Amino acid sequence: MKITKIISICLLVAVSGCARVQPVRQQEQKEVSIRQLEDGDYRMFVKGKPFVVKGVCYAPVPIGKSHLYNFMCDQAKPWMTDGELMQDMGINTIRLYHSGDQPAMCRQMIEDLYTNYGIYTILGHDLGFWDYPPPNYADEEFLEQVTADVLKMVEFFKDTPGILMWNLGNENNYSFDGRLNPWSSPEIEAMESFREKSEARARMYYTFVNDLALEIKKIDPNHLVSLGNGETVGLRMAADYSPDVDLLGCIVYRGKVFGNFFKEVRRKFDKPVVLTEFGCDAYNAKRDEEDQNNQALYLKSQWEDMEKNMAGGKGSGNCLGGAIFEWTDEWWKTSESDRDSWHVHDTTAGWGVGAYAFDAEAGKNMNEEWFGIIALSPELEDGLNKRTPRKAYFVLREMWTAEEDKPKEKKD
Amino acid sequence: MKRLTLRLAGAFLALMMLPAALSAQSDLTEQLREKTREYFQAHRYEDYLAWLNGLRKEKDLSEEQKLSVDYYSALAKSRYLEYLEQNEDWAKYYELYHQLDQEIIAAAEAIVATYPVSDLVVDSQYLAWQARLREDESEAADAAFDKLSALIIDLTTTTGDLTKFRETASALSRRSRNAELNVLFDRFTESIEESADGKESVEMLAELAAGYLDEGNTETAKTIYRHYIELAARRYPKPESLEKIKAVADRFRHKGLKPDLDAVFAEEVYTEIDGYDPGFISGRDSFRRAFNLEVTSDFNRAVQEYRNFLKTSEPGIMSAEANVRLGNIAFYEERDPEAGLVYYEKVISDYPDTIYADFCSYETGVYYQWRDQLEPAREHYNRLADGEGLYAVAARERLEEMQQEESLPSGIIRPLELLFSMEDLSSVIMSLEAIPPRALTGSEVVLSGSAQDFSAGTIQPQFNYEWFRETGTEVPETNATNFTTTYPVPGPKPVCFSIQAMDGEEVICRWPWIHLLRISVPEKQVVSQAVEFKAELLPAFDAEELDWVWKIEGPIKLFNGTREFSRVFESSGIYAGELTLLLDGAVVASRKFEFEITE
Repeated sequence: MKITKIISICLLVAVSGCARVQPVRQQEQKEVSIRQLEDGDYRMFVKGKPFVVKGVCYAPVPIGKSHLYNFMCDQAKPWMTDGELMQDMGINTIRLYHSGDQPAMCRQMIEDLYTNYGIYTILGHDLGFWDYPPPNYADEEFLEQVTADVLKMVEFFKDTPGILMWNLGNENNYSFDGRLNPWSSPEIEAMESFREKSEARARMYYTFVNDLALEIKKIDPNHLVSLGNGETVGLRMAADYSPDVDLLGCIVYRGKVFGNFFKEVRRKFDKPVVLTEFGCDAYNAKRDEEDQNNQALYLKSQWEDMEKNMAGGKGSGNCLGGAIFEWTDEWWKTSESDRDSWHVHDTTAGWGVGAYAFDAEAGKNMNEEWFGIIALSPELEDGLNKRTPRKAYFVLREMWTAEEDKPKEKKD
Repeated sequence: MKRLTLRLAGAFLALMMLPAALSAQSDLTEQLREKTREYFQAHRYEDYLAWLNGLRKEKDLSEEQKLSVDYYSALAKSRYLEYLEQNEDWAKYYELYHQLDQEIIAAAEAIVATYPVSDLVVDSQYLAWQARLREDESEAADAAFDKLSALIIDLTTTTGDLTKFRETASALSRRSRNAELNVLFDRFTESIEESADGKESVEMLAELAAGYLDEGNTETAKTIYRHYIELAARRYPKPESLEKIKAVADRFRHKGLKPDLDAVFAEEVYTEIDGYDPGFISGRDSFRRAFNLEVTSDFNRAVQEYRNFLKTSEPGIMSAEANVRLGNIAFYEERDPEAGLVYYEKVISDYPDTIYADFCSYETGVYYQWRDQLEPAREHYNRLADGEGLYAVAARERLEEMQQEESLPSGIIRPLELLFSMEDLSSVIMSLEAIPPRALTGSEVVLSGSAQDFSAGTIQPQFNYEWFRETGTEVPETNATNFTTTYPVPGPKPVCFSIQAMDGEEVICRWPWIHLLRISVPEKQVVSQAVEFKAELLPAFDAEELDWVWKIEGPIKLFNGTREFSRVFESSGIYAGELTLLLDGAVVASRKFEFEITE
């Protein structure tokens, strides 16, 4: 026992000594990697160069269509028009929620975006959470199906130029309390307290994600695997049961800034984080009119807060960037089952977040159909709905195309 | 006319070929103003800039004239950028703004460095500050604003004219630049401090604030009042200073039938008064302050103030209301029914003949019945059962249920169960608003509930809303988050809604207060005899604050501005009347009536 201790101390001293001259952890062999720096901050590297995810969630559903429409099969190739605009704005990453039912088309799109515009892709899989039949992470058969599907996706896309990382799950953790897409098992039902049930679900789910991450790494050691969480719900459990994911992919809507979010992630999970959704809608529910100014103001402030929490900044040093929700408006969202409404830019707010102060008085103030930094109009240009960049596009362009290595404020 | 005279004068001097630099300058300024109007109205900024550019190159322009041209050029650039912004032409805006801002700053700085303080200098500095803001150069913008505020104060104190000051303050307010607005007023306050004008200059601030308030610009008014309060406390002797400050709070506080201007700000001012003299707010003012706190849901402090009111006032009808309110807060907000019943019992014993006592008897009876303590429940219902009105009818219903050993109806029992039987509360935050919180019988009250689970992140659960107790004439639809109703009977009205949360259900209650405006005029009366006109408001309301305006039309017309009066009519006929209640000049309620005078 004593000998083990001495060896451990020697190793620790040796590692600490090295840390003065080079990063503590390295994954140099990978195309995409994360390193923890001497001061504990995290940084992403792509092909050996530092990389900040300046991303956008990409689901360019045309007016009159719904989420069932596969834009990747669109002959007008919307990603080519969008890619040019994205490149001009300084976007280097898109987040895709899924690869769709035509993986070959998706692969072509990812490759086109990378080859023509240098844009990488975060490719997601919701682990069956939003599919029918509903998910059950306590059911072995269901887990096997999902595992097979995810590994098939990784196998198919892993060599596609432009892949940045795999994002597993999309707010699946909101099911732990049984309110959203509830799932259970006799073992869970036998538990008495609400808390026990919730923790059991978290344990099962995060263990599954960890197993999946390990399987992915066997097939594809070149790309990162992220845990796709909603907010910080269940994160402490994730630290125990998903230790092998590379990073957290988190969806966060907290208004102008992220408050204690990055600190909380440090404390509970201590892995770097990419915000897989953040942003502000361009509709003012209080004044009942479009509001590009507040959208731009909030996005600017959010990005400044993220920068503060990146490596070398004053904050927690665990932010690797993020993907703005979202590129274009989606006109179908308010009434998914009403086809006529997909042609109408609906102004009904679906949920409320008081931290978006400019229209918080309205109660429900998040207008799902107005989150785009690009507005769509029914008028067609080259077979696509005309795209009009909102103010936020230009404000972020100024931030994202500014000198790459501008000196950051040092930590106190 | 003035413009014409100047132009004629300019033309005349030019004809005479006199080297009158001053007139030439005036003429040019006038010409620039006219061109500015013309081009700005048509939004032809680029054309205007080209014209100014041509003018600037003319050889015979003096240096002073060149600077004038530069100012208008900077103004046009600034307006052009604003126009592009308003029209959301972002592509053009982001293409141009860096260059235009640099030009604006250079021109403005040259003007400020060359001229003594004037409107033009202040306006130029304002443009420079705006450009710095657009460029996001925070330190340079701060420095530009420092300079701007110094120039404005200098101009205002030199000329004694507030126009430029007001103009700038309004512009800051419109742009929600509250930090800068505060700095400007800080500096202005400092300059008043240094002046020997005494109370007059302090009142200038109050006048300025009142002006903004009248325009509906509450935020700017509040900023100015904060400075006014600070100065009034120092320049007026006590208690005059505190009366002055209280008058500010009274303007903003909640007054029941009239929506408040800003109840939170009113409390901020009351707190300020506490700092100068903790005992100054007492008696009726304590009731007003407590009510103001109650509508902002600051129940702990509302309780303190109602108690303060009871301690510092003579017992009266307002004391009954204060006790009912204390009982309701204990019952529904603090969820301490035993404490609530103590207040209710006090009302029943001390004010037995009021509607407050009826309300308290009934609520106490319901509570005991829910607890299966049938004897005290029966006792409280029996107190009401022989009478008339809503509470008598309801009490008889409850007695009958007990007789037949039936349980309380679910609309009554459910909120009580949810309020007093649940232990754990989840992360759901609920609120219920009654607008107005005080209304007359028959007038509309909007009840709105809201619930939000702050632990749920982006995916909020779908809550099911259920409404209970006294929802008035309307039966709200299932899951309605709000509805509009009326109440035919006066008194406090407990309204509750519940939602299904993740670990059970939650309930919240509020009580709109409904008042009856009773007009007492004989339906028939004969000529030459005095007709008595009387009105009263039930339950007690801060009636002293109301203006009672009677308007009567018929064979003769008359107006009266008192609550009660008598009049002899010499002409027979049908008369139509209307009683209007006003608060601070605003109509808060009115009722019509008719009577006949016969021979």
